[in-house]
Amino acid sequence: MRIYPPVTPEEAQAWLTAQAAAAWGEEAAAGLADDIAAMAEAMSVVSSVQLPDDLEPLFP
Amino acid sequence: MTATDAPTALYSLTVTEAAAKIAVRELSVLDYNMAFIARTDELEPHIKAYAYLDRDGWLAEAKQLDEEAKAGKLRGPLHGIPFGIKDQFFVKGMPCTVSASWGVDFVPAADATLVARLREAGGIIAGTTYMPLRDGDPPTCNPWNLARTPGGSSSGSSAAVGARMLPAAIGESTGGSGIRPPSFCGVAALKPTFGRISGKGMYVYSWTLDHPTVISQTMADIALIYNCIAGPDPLDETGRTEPLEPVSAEVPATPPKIGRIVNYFPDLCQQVMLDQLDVAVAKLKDAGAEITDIMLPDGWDAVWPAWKLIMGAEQSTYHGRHTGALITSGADVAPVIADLVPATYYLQAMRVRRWLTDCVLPLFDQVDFLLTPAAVEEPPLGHGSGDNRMNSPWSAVGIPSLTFNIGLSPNGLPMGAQLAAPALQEDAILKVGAWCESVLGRLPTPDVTYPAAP
Repeated sequence: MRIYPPVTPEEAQAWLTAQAAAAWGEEAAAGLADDIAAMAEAMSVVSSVQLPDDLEPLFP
Repeated sequence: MTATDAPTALYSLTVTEAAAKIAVRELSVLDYNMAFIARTDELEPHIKAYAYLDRDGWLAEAKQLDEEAKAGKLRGPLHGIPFGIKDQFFVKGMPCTVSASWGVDFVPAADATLVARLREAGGIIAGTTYMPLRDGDPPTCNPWNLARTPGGSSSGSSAAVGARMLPAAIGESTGGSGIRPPSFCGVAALKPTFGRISGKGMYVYSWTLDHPTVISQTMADIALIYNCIAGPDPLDETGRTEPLEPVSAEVPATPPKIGRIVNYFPDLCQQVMLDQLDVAVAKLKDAGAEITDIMLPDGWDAVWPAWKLIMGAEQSTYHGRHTGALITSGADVAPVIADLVPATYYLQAMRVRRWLTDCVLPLFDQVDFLLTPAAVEEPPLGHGSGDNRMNSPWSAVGIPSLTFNIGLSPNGLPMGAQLAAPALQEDAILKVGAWCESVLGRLPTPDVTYPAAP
């Protein structure tokens, strides 16, 4: 899944749903719809944050 | 012996008071512990705080330490003080099940570092305390109202201290579990800087977010316990290596300079919480505190999604071996969406985490501490963990935070505030916590006249 340009929640949701269906089947993916929506929202926000180019990850 | 004929006032002593009395032989270790054992016998059927209660071991250890105290031998500053340990830390000889989460069930052969340090300081391990179960909420009830949650995941530790079944306990905060539950149960807690208390011997939830926490009645208690268990641990690869400078919760002569965060956080809170914080802030200001409104920079609300991605990916990675074993054994294990978080997003969340940290630290040039509610609401009905969004930012950033009580809601339920400070400022944050405590007072022991247990 790309990070740039930022993904929309809908794009992330479609990607996660497809991955879940491939991993666990369509029925399981449908059962995860709420979790998928929440994770897709998180992915969308994180991909949208404008960060300095040289910013490194923080591993405390 | 029952709670009625035990020397009941003893369970209301703070750790600091009890330790001082034990040190000068004004208080028998055995009498002190019997007060808690009797109260546990009476209340545990209602509260359900313990995943594993070692009643016989507790009593035997109390007798041993009582004899030693009578002979003038004190093991350390916590001689004879009983503790509960969240069922996430290894306690030698006691089952570790992570409250039946993840198919874990074994008896550790050695103590977690913090447990060993408690014992070295004279502490007694009464048992392990509940956290949420794998397939549901913990059975633990809030001592202030059995229909309400104590919060999670440090449910049992917080409820046991809140009910005065124990004077202190150890919790853990990945997203707020060591702050919100104590606030729900009307007691105090400190989440130190990431790595300041060793995580060696802790069942990991999230490698870079897990913070062992100290739960007790007062800031002074927390300082006393923190001094015994914090500091470098060669066995803890993610721990802080700076030498420990002992802290105190001495009330400072000068009132604190506090910034009340007025964006993002309040938007998430129920009005009852904001009203209660308003009342507390007015009292603190009247007592001389300089409390100003402070704004987090635009975009700071990315902290919650970043935390979610980091926690999810790390949890899925660490626990994969256990869920894999469950699947192999034929168990019906529900899939977890965090298993599918791409590595690129995990790393991007870690970059966002760096940016968030860089945004917060300059705020401490304006004020010494940041103030928010400790929870978005009063303790909700049921047994759920509660909304962690007041707390997870300080786990993500890794700076110390604490909770102190700010009174009771109109429903008679404990409400807490939360302070945050720069990394390694545990001494300063405990002192200001003590100052707030001195102004606002502590809650009384909750009324525990419950209906007969089923």
